[in-house]
Amino acid sequence: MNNIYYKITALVLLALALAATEAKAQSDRYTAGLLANANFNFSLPQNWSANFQVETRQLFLRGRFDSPAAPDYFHERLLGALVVSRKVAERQSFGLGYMLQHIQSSSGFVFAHRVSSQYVYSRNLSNYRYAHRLVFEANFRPQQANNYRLRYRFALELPLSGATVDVHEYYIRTMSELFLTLPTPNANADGEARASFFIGNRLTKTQKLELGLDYRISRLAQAERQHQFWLHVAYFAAFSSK
Amino acid sequence: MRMIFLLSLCYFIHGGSLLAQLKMEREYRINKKEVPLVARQLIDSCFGKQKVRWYAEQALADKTFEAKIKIKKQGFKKQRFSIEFDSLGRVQDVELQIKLNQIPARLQTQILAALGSRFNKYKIVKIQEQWVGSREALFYKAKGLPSPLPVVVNYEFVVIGRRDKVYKSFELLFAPDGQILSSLEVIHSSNDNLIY
Repeated sequence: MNNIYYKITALVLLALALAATEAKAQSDRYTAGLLANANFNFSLPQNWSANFQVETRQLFLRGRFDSPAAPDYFHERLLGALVVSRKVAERQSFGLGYMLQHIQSSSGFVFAHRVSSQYVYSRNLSNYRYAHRLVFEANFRPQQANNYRLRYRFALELPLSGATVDVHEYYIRTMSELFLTLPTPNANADGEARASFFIGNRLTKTQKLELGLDYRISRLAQAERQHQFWLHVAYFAAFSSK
Repeated sequence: MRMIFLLSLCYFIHGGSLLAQLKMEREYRINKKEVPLVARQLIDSCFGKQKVRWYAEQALADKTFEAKIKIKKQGFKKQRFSIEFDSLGRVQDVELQIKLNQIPARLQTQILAALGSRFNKYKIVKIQEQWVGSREALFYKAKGLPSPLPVVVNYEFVVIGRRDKVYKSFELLFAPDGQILSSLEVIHSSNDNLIY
């Protein structure tokens, strides 16, 4: 493996470890649970593609770090999202998306909406590949002020056997993402960061299954932060119109 | 290294046609002990103590072996060699990653013109010099010694090209006279997991 693999993987793991250590030292809130998503990508003619995903989040634990753990199972959210993209250059694409979320809140289940636009730069190299993604999104939720976020994500895929990931072979995927919630008349700017580490298997030419750990820290500008720990299962299927 | 799944296209290039062939390869890392002895001996004699990564490539009909070596050279960051052997350990070709300006100027012009006429827009991803010849000839060439035997030097270009408003990856092999010897479409697996 190339040294860069080790460096990036080590950085993500270090970030996860540091975050966990930092979290324990504070009386922040946390949640932990299972996040599962299925992602279906349709390649369309003329460089167009459509991506549809469904995701569910089940919470098992929540509380504060300075209090005993409180097991508390509930279905936190179900969402569906559609992004339509067009490749605009050899390695670049633009997309527009819509997401509908069914979220459990203190007042019961509510529907939340999100519209987004994204720019992606992705590259296949001799023995690994990566993608940068920049998203601007607007979130609309009942009884809450609209919020607008900028997010940047770097994702890297490293084969564990050979130079590329063949069928039935394993790979590593690491991602880190930064969020900036833009200030509004009712709220100050805030931030969120995410890091995740997955082991994946290419089941067939068009399907992948991944299992990983996902850590998220939000409300970075506030005294009391929110930590999320997810066991993340992801399934990807690709379909082509050709 | 080449991509895993290569599908060839049958189409016409400047009045001449290329044969279409379906080429599917699965490449995976192997231990040195799994490589035929003659192949190991050639690599040891040419590259001595350099770190060598061995791969097997399983195609539909046959299995080949490939040695990949990175050598630090003055003037270049690294020289990347890949030496391909057949299932019996006989050397098939040697590939050396190079930059465009390392190709003779006249040939460079011919190749760029060919790419320009084939695609509306293109980006060169990788260029490899491909040496084809006898075991002895390739040995001399790899050692940087004048070879008494002929070595044919072809040029393999991996490009992303836009044609009919669609971007695709291709692997094109050019002969020393600029003729296109083969053109294969490279099929990458989906990268949705990096984007969504």
